[in-house]
Amino acid sequence: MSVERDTASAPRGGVPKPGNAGPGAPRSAAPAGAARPLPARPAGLAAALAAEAPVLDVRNLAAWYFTDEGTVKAVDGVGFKLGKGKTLGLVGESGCGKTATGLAVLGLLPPPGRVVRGEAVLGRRDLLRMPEADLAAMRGRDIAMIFQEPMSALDPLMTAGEQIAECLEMHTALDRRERAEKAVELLASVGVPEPALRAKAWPHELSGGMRQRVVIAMALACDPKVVIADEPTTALDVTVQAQILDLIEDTQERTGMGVILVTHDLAAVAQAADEVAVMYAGVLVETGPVKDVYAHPAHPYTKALLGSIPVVGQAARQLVTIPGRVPNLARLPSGCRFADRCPLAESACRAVEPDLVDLGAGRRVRCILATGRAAR
Amino acid sequence: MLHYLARRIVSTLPILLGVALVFFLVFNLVGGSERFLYNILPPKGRTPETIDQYREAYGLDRPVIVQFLDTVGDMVTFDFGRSESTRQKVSYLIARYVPASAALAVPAFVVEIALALALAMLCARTRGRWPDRLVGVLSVAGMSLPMLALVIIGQRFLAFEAGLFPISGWTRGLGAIRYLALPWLLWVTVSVGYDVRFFRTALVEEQGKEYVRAALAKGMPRRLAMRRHVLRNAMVPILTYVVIQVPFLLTGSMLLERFFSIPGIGELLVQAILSYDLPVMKATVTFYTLFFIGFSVLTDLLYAAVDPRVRLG
Amino acid sequence: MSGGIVDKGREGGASAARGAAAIGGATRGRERGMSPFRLSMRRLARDRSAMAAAAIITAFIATALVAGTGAFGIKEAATVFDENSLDTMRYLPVGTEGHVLGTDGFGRDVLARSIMGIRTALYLGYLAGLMTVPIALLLGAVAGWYGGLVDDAVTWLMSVVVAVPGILLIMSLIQIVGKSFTTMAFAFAVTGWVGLARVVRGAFLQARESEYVLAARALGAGDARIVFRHVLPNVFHFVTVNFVLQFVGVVKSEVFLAFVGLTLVGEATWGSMIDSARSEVSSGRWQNLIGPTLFMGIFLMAMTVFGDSLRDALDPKLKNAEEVRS
Repeated sequence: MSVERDTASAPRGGVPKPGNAGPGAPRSAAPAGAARPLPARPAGLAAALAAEAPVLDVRNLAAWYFTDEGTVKAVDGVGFKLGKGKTLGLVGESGCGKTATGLAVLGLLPPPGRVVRGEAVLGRRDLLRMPEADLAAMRGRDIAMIFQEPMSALDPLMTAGEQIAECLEMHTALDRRERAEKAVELLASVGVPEPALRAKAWPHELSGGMRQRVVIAMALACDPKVVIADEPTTALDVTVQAQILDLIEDTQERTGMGVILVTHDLAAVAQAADEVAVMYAGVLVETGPVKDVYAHPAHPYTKALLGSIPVVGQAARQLVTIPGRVPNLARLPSGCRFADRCPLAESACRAVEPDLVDLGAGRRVRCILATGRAAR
Repeated sequence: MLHYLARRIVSTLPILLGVALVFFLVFNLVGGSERFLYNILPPKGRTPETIDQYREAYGLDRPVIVQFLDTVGDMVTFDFGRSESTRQKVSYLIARYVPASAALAVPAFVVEIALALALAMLCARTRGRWPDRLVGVLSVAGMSLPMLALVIIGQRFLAFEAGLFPISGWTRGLGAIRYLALPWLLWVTVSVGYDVRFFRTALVEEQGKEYVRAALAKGMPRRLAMRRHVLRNAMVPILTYVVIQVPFLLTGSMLLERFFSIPGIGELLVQAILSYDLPVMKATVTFYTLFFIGFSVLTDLLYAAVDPRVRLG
Repeated sequence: MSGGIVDKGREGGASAARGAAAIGGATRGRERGMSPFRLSMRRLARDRSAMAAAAIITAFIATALVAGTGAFGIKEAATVFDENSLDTMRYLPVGTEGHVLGTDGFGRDVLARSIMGIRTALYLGYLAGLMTVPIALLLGAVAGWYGGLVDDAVTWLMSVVVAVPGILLIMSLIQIVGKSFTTMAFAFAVTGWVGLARVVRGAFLQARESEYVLAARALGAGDARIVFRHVLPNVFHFVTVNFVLQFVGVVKSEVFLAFVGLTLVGEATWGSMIDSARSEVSSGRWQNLIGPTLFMGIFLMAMTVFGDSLRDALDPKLKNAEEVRS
């Protein structure tokens, strides 16, 4: 999966040299029509092929909230490609538009929010220009969502099993009893002990980690091609966090689904994602393979984010905090959106908003300083 | 469950005691009993001697505490003696006046709630657009206009001018429907606005809940999600609201009963207050209180039945 | 959240409602440093229907105040017969020259009486509010702050008052104590304090346990200081909104009281006017119905709209606050 580019992405853990890396290289030049993912191929090759036909292709998406206090441009031109079986980490601070991006793709943006432009192509169809009934038929079956707070994502008046079965009710011909059985199986597959018992439990009777597993089972019930996981671990204990990420990864390996991991937890992205897209104030500021971006962040914002993670064993290292806060999305400054908080900002930064420029090696960055330096 | 009910019943006793106390304060200390004595005597007989005589006869000369316990005793045994104005037994009067009140209140309330729910769902579905706004404006208008004016206008135009309904009157049995139709109509018109606003708020609140979005994310059509998740969850506050209204139905209908000469308990009560008919007042207040307490227990039971998170105990 | 990623604070975008709130928060970021109260007032000022309602209310109050001084002869016209109407029929219909809304059976100008009715409504409503708020604040605060037996006693009192239908108590009190606006207002206060007191009690109960009060305590602040600086400002919303709601309820109840003959005879109240219209409309005399209904309808609508907007502006969380049915 890659961000706004057509070259192949790096295989997981492989050397990030798209276009001529590894055994998949010759294949990656093959016409897109020939790119059919085959189950028994080596991981690198499959990934390269998948990259040719992304399972979800979001282009130039803009979703604005039309509030009384002005138009809040929560998402303002975001694009990325998600390959089969890949994970894209969408990171950024609170209120930068990550969640709005996910909801917009699903067509579930709450009013006064509206998608104003862009495309989200899944299986050759644009989700954003689809009759509501068709989109409803695709939700849950082709594209699903794991919600952030499992307690509020579960209807308090319905048992866990019933809520999982609802997805099957919408998309399969199974009868009530079969759906209930399948729900128990799904609970077992997400690692819930005593699934038959838990299926009959009310949400308030379950622990936080258990609820999150139920929410995941709900999202996975119909084997979707794409799952948008919105902060799936934020509400959980650290020990449970890792288990949940592993669970998502395991499922992904089994079913080949693509995952968009929406989070502000850079450690989670490092653990689970292949690529990372850093979002700031409604736009992507840097994208690329996780390892590269983490090793050599190009955008000052990415640097600051990475600098603010405490690292065990480096006790003496000073934690970097980013001064200021995300700008008012209703009244954006001219020029670079990060300029006001950027330690390196120059006058040129405030003049024109920089483009997302290709740095090669699958990386893109929206910063004149970084791209200027690269050009030099 | 039985344990809970028993506890609830026991816990109502202090409340009844308090109501007796309020009643007692109002009538025996603020000067109600003197007014009462003054009013039950014919104008010619109001001499100090006869007043003393009556005071003794009604036990109003006894120590305050004894009188209070007496009032409590009346309330607990529901024996209030005879009405001062009609000399009929109070329990008989209540039994005789309740049916007309129920005939007015119950159908009107059912229609009111059903209509309000339908309108509120319309509002929730079209939130912010014209049907929602129109219903909103009409609700506020209905809440702001004086009920009496609407009743006068309704009677004048619908009954007197258009002749659609009898102007007023009463008969026993099913024939009463003829006389009740206009009061029902007015009742619903006047009260539906409050309900619509409350129900709409409850529905809109649920609509914004994450689990509704989660249901949509599973691929559920919006209409089904509205029924299965929004409406079901909104039913918890709505049911409470509806049930808690029931005891007030009887007072709410006082104006209509009096205006259209419907022999209901509200009318009985207004008469009692205006004529200082102490026994009838005591009885109706007790009746209302018990009714109210009964329905708040019912609210709790319903709550527990609807919401698995609520446990009685 | 300036700490960036290290701050594990909850991401604002989870639920869409909260997502919008977070964005709204970002929108308001510019106004950092503004007090919550000023923010609320700004929100209110931007609400067009609230401003229209406020304009209507102001116009009504101003009219009432001006009329009360005797200016333009309104006060006089409301109480004194018109010589012309004495000669012929005392009732002059709506649209008569010099009497836009006609005159009543005593030849008094209905428009002038409707205007004087604003005074009565304001007087009653404010008096009731002024009596209710201290009762509710005191009992609620004492119950929430001290807890224990005091709390039990107040809670018991609340359930008793709620268990007796308010209108019965009001009618009985007026009947026994005597008809006066003060009695009426007192009766409304005695029956109307429970809702507000419950909220106040809750706020104090919560405050007593809260960390900011513990912190203030630790710094040596006394009870009075904590209450006035930290707790009372938090219940200000409820007091205001309750005041408006009660006002509407009181004005409407006055009509009912007039209907059962428990309002003040001879005073210009909307209730007594509408009540006298009851027998007049059968002979085609609508003036006593049209005047006060129009005035009351417009005034109470403006109050209700303003109350709603005020509630939303002061505390968006309150949107679901229970509606009080009068």
